[in-house]
Amino acid sequence: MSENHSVRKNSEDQYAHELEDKIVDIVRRCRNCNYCSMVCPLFESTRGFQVQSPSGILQALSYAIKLGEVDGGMQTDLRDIVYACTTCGSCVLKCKSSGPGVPLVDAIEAGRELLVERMVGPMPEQIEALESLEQEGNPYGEPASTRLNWLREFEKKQKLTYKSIPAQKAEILLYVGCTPSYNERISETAIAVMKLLEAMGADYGILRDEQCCGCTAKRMGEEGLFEELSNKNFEAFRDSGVQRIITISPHCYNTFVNEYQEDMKEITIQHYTQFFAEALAQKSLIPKHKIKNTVTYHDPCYLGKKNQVYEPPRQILNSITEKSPVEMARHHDDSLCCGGGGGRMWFEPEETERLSETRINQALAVGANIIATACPWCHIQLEDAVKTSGNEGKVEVIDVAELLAEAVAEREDG
Amino acid sequence: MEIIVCVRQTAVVREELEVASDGRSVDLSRVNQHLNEWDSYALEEALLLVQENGGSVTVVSLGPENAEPVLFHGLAAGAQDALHIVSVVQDDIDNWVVANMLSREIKKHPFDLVLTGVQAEDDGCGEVGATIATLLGIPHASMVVAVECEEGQNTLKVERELDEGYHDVLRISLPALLTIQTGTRQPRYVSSMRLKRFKKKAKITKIGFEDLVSVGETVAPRTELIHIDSYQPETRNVEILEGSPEQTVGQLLDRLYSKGVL
Repeated sequence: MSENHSVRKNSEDQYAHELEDKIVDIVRRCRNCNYCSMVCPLFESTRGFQVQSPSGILQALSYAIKLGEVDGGMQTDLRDIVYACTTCGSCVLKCKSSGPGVPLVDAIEAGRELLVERMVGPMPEQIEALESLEQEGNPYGEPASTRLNWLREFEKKQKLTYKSIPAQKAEILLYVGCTPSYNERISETAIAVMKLLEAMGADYGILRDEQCCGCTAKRMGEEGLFEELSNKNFEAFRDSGVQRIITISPHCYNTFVNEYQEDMKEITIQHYTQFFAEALAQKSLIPKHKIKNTVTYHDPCYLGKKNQVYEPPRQILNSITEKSPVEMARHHDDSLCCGGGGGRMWFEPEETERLSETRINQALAVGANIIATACPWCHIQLEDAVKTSGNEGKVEVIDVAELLAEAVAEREDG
Repeated sequence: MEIIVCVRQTAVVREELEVASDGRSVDLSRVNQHLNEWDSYALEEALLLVQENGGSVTVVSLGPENAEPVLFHGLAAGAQDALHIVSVVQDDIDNWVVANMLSREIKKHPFDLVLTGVQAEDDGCGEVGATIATLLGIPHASMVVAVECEEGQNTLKVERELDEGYHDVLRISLPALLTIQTGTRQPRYVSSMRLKRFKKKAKITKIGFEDLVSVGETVAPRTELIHIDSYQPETRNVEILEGSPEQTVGQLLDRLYSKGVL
């Protein structure tokens, strides 16, 4: 019995202390100027308590650590505070431009890791997603064996030239991701991307046994599961010999570029908007029709704020719309998060007004009848908000890839 | 308070399973396994009771060698000790044998309370807890949703879930056995990193069937599985009515009249 007790004591202490040191070190650099609160979507969409802002979350974590209360009597309050963040990164950009450049989201994510290690996190509603990730390689509780069902259905309608990796070799790997694989509406984005690759005559393939990139596990503070998934994926990428990976989700893109091992840098990683914007510039994709609607573009945080990929999706939209796309009041670095990041897709956070509904109103205010986006989660959040805000028929959410595929497609009416 | 929690590994069923050609088993070779959901609530209740009142938690499981992960899960979650009664595939086991073997092992340890889940996710029998209590000769309460230690007394106040939204509250003397219902106190999440550390270093005590029976004694099953049937739900036509609420209500009424419902 004492042997098991010492395993618990030693292993818990070492890892947890490292995380605590990391958090305290980051918090020490915060000047408490609260400029970050002004740009925080959580602060904006809640009652605006101090603990509903980036610096407030950091203070809550810091005091819990100093007082030894991480797993104390108020542990569920601390958990709810730390998991409410969308991890959009607005605060980090603000702090870089107006303050000492504190990596606030890193501290919040380390806080989640600490809570998971102390068995306080994640949010109860997220547990099933983590178990499904571990067992089936996706967070949706779907069997791994049905991951390619969307592709089988698509193949019945169109002849495709993709390679099945690793049995076959290809220059480009299309990493589909979990949401396009299992969500019927978002599968349309994957189909559009494939249609475009087919139109280009690209030498591309899809992993026969694809599994999650690990982003969801990391956002929920499950670092061990993230490491397992990232190691397996990296080996699959390396063994496949691909030179380029194209992702559909900005979350997969960010994870591969910023959170995978150093050796990932040997492979070119692109979000599909970057790849197709280049293809349009090089004339390897030629639009045949123009979209007549008024289009506005919603910046996904994990593409824009996290990776400064702002222009490629706009270049695509500029080349396929009859009138120039309109910008919402908030765009680029100042864009408003849809509210679905940071693991919040799996629970209902406290919101006085849903961020996604605010975003729909911002789009309507500039006369848009199409909101184009380039992220599966933004797509789901915004499409849902169109319905809940009673704006069905006034504005539609369509992925940039779907719009481009429509513009590139041959039409009988010419 | 010394608490023993009986745990079991069950299949995570996410896709349709097929009955094997022998008609008596289901092919689980490609199916993931995890801690039975009801048992995870029993384990959480035990850990919280010890956290609030002192004592220790021991997890015990009867199952094949590959059932070890649920015991490591118990240790990583906070249990102090783990006991594994190792069965082999050839063992003829029914719920009577399981309860019998578990009660024989439990008797060897000091305990105030034994907890099990109400039932297992796969067979849904709900027999093992009550049978262990009978074999141990201790009181038993089923479908428990809340447990409270009564200070200075050797009793517990337990709340049970009844049908139709009713609950009752009982006082039960210790030692006792409770079967715990799901939805009580949310089981803690054990991270993969934590589980890995415990798998590497923690110790599980192994017990063979032969350690629990006297020479020449056999513990034979009292029930025999004859066959498993799989009933497919009837496929029915689904029609989505389109149009304004006024139009769809009209269409719905037409359908109901034509089918003779109205």
